[in-house]
Amino acid sequence: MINILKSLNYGARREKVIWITLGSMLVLPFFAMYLMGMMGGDSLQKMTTSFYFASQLMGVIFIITCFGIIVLAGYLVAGDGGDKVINYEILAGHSRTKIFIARMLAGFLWGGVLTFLLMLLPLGYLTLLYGWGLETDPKNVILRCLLTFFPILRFCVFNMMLACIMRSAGKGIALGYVTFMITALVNSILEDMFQLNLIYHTSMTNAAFLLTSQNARNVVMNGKTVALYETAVTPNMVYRTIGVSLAFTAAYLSIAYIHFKKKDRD
Amino acid sequence: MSEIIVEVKNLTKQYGRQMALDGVSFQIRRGSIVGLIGPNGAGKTTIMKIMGGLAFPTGGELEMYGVTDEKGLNHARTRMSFMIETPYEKEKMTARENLEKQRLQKGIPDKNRVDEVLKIVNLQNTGKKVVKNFSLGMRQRLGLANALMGKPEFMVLDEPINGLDPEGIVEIRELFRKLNKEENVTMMISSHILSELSLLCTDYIFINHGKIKGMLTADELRQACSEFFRINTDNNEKASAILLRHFGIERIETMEDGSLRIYDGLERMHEISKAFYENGIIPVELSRNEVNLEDYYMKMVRE
Repeated sequence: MINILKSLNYGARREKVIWITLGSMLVLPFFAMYLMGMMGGDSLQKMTTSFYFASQLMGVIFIITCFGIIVLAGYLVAGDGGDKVINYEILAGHSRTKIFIARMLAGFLWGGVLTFLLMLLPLGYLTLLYGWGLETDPKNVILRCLLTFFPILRFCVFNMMLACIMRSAGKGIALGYVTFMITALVNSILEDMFQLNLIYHTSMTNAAFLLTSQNARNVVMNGKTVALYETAVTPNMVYRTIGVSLAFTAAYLSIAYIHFKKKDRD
Repeated sequence: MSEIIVEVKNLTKQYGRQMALDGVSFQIRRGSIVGLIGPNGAGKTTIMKIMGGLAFPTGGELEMYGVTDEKGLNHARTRMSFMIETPYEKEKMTARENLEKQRLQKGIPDKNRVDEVLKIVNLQNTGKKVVKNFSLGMRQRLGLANALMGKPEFMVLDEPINGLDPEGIVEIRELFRKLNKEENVTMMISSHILSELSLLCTDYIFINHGKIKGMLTADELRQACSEFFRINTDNNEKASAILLRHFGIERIETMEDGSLRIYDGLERMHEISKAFYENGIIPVELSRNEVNLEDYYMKMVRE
């Protein structure tokens, strides 16, 4: 299995699309910050981590992260499905189970863990450069960010499942993108039409819920009026985020595994 | 008798309603070069895919190196190499990068192996040229290099000389011979270039419509490929009657173009041509020929 991982890693490091995606994920947060008015002009002082979170920018960055996940998960799992290079792993005598685990692991490391770390990167450099700030409680924000790992895992595995079934990175990415857009749209329509609260139904709404804060109150601190944002994490949020994400992850993995294990390869 | 390393028993494979393999059974001996011969869609690639684990059989049994269970077959595959259909390669990578990826995947510790196989297939000077810009022949060589990476005991090759120039064909043929003679590498080769197979194979399996039509060794084929006379006259029907009546030749084959083939009485051709002349038959062609693998193949697949 480790040999398959090494081989996938070797291939991934030579894919331009992967580097373009990672580069975009590094640059786009700056672009988002610029658009939100956090960069340039007189706003430099405001650019603390706390203000970054309070400005709902994490939600925007999560959407960018989702696109990164769709591309990376698709490429790692089925980037060599179209050219059938994947077949060499079966022909070399690796069991399908080991191939599946290796590919899911590679997809998860590149598409899940790496994108998660890239998503958190602005928090790190903003804190180092400008400090945390006053608007949010760092412990709660960090806990919320760490909890986002679970919806990301779910989203990543979902896209790996699509790529695995489609047997092509391109088709998997296209389907992942369409599903992402449709899910967001349907979710929004359902919430508006039926006044539903669909937080945990999709990984996107779950992550958006964790990465944004709706309630704020103004307080005067050191002679300045500061908006303090509600970021408390309830046990219910933790259990449901982890539970629902893991349940969906297991379901997606099972579907992908059965498909990979039982179907003939072209 | 050499050890049997592959035994296929009553193998079937169904795709929807289509029967790709219908009760296929054969054996492969260690050290042999088996030619798998059949027209497109006969089931050759399906057999190879099942041996490689890419496809699952609908029925029957596959035994390789004495094992039939999935784990055992996977282990057997580590001793084999496969080149099925067009070689699978990463188009945007160079030949070296493609092979390095496969070296890592197969867990081959010797980093020099990539250079060794590139040299064997004569692709050592391709440098930074990516596979996308390779000719069909170069791709084929890269596929062969890949198949040679793990120093296999048994190579399963689907159309390995497809796209190679005449010089390349000779080169690869010599390579196969060398591997077979010096390292006792067993091979199963499917090819449409039957003349090439006849120069290489020790055994032949003829397949059509998913069924084995015949199996024979090179010696048996040599015996089967007997000499014959090709006769073409202005009245082949009358000529056929004369051959039967005057010379007692019963085995007369009428070919698609109307010409006749006789396998007996070859030494009496002078008398036969005289009899034709006396009966007012004008011979257009009277030639001594030999049945080759191609003729044998045509006969087999027509049956």
